[in-house]
Formats: sequence, C-alpha cells, structure tokens
Amino acid sequence: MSAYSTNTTQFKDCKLLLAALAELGFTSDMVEVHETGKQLFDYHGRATHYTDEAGDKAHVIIRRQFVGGAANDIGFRKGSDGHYEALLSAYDRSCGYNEAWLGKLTAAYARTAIMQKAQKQGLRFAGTVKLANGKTQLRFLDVRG
Amino acid sequence: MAGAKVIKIDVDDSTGEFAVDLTGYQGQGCDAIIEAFGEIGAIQTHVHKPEYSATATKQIKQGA
Repeated sequence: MSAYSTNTTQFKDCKLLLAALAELGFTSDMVEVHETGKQLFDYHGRATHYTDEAGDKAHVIIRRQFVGGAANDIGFRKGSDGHYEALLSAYDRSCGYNEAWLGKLTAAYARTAIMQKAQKQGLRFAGTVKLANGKTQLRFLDVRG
Repeated sequence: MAGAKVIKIDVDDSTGEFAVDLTGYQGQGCDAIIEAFGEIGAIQTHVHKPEYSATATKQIKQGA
C-alpha cells in the first residue's frame, strides 16, 4: 500500500535535517529541498492525495528510486509552527522507514545540533564514548576560562 | 588544559533524547550553555545540575 500518513517530528532546521538524513545514508544528491511544497509520487509514479486533497506535498523529499525497489517518495513537510512532519507510506513503513527509523533520524539530528551549538559556545569537542546503556556520550571541554 | 571543565551529553541513539550533565559546573556560562542546547528544540532534554534552579531546568525541557 502506498497510503501516506504523517508523523510529527522535532525537526525545525533544514540543514540539520539534511545532515541527519546524510548520516542515515541519504546524501545531498538524493534529497530535494524546496521553498514551496512539491508533489509526492507513489511507486507507480502517480501523484498521491492521502493527506491533502490537493496532493501530498513536501519541502524535503527523498524520491522513491533512492528509497528502495517498490518504494514511494518520502517527504518532510514544514508546518506553520516551523516543525517538519514526516510523510511515510504504509509500504515504506513496513520496509523499515517507520517510527524506529524516525527515532534514529532524530538522534542524528540531535547529535549534529549539539555539535553545532557547542562549537558556537566555544566548547572544544573531546570525543565520544559508547556507554553501557547503549547511549552515545559526547564530551566537550570548556576552555573559555 | 588543566582545570578545563568537562560537559558530558548523553544521546539516546534510538530517540534523540539527550541529557546535559553540568554537575559540578560553576559560573555564569552555565546559563548560556543551557540556553544554547535548549534551542535545539522540543527534543526531550534533561539537565543534571542539582543546584541549578528548577525554572531553568523546566525551560530547557520545553526547548526554550
């Protein structure tokens, strides 16, 4: 099935979203970025209308050829509150592009955002440690005196 | 480098939730750090700094 449904996300910054997608394998040459939402297409190449009668549109799009064999486009639509919502088809959710994938994407987004914010604060990156509880610990040195 | 303060941030790789550990951290820079990481958004954020005010902790949890 190619029916789309939406997930709210915590993503507000397009560049950070693109960096997170790249970390999960969708490099910049695979991702479209649009000022105004563009139409999503299903595995047959048909325009879809599941979440919007005028057509499912998104501002950040991974076209289906980069997603998988019989996949549909994956989209991120920017809402009026500045947050992106993910548009994922039922088929692609069954192929791993589901809440768990969004969780990993959120983690990648968070790590990138933390590195960026730390750099702006003048903190010096001191490495990462994989903790026994499965979390990743980012360490920074505050050498600002 | 001696005496440099260490900030540890634990990120849950399956959800993006992260915790900022400022335990033992002193100084006004604390406010700026909390504000900076709070700007990341509504990703659930925790601050471990018992002596810090409850208000500031609430703000960062809300992505202030």
